[in-house]
Amino acid sequence: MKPFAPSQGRRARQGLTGVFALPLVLFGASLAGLILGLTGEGAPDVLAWALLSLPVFAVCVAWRRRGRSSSPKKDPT
Amino acid sequence: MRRSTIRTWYLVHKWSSIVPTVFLLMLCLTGLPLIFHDEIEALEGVDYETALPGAPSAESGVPLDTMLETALAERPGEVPLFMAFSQESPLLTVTTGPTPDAASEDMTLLFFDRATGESLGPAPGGGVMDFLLQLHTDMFLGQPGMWFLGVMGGLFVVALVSGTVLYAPFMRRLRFGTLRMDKSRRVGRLDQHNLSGIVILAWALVVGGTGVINAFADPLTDAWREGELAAMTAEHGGAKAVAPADYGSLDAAMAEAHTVLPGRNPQFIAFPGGGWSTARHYAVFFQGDRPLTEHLLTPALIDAASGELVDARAMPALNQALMMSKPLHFGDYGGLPLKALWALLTLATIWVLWTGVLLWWRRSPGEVERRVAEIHGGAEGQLA
Repeated sequence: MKPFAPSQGRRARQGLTGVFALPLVLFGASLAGLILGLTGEGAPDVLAWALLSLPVFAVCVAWRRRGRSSSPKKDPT
Repeated sequence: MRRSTIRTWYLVHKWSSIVPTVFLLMLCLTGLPLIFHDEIEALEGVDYETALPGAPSAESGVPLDTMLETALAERPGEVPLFMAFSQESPLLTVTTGPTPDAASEDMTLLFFDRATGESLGPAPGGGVMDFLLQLHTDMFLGQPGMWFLGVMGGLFVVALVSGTVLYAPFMRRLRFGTLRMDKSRRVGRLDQHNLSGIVILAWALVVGGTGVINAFADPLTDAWREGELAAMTAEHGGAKAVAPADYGSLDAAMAEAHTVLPGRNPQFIAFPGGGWSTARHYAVFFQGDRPLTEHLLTPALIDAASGELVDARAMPALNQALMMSKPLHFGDYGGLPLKALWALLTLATIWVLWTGVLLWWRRSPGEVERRVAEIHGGAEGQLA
């Protein structure tokens, strides 16, 4: 936490980049996986499976952490 | 984002979701078993693709003219419409019908082993999988049903986009993946809806989008036949119809086509007079020679009477996209693990639809304004 950060009294706000950072990673990974699977057998297929399982993995992680009303920890500066 | 903008997007999301929901649920539920149609058919003992030993029918085997003779002997009085090849096994299929322009419901699909030349009988059909496929494609309503489902798919894409737009202001104060299950049921449901929706976004856009393309595939094929194909034949003296009795050798036609497309494997031959050829030509559709271009077909036109090659020209970009969109919709191109992921993502889609229905069903009076206010302010942990 940076000193003298102005207090906002509410939970920290994120910009568009913050909100969409992880969704964009998942979006890109899914698309890459879908297309890689088309390009060949063997290694590209395995990579495609790995990339396309990331969205499923994300849901599993979120489910394990469910219940907490969490928000970004960093204070805005 | 301004409050009025949010309100507009909220209403777009609401209606583009409510209208197609029932149909989308049906598509997900029928699509789920269809992902595994190969495996299910193998259990039923009709999976010739892996059971037949020998070279792929697309590469070698008994001469095509002999295979066609065997097929026509099984369907006396009928004419050939399509001959299709397998890239993995000696399985070869021949489609026949009463006339060259027969409708699909009048067609008969016959299976053969090109390694031995033996007939394997008519394609097994009428099972549960056929029923599901028909329901999934056009709900037994033919072309209008297909177009209707295409429009529902289009609305699904609109719902995905508008949902993503609303995700931004709503999530400003929440961490990615937050599931506030300790709050009210509505808040828990809303978080599940948002999380599942945002993680499946890319996949759902691709499957939804390719589904829409497939629904409108027939007009695209017609446009190609009436435009590009007509242009190819016009340069070579037109396409005067040739009677089935005057059809020349298929093997000669295939050899002729291979002179311009050497080393390429054929996927299917369309006979004259049908939706995929002219009134006069055999159209042999060749696959690309690399894995990436495998799904992109190049047709070679051969005069069915003289056996002379007319032209071989790649299909227009729109039709190429259509070819690529089939595997991307079916998810059957990357082995069993990909199919399993396809199924999981379909289940996630069902969850998004279901939580969406519940959120709408359990609404109270004046909810639009309160929801808009909630999204506008950004959801918070203490809001319930």
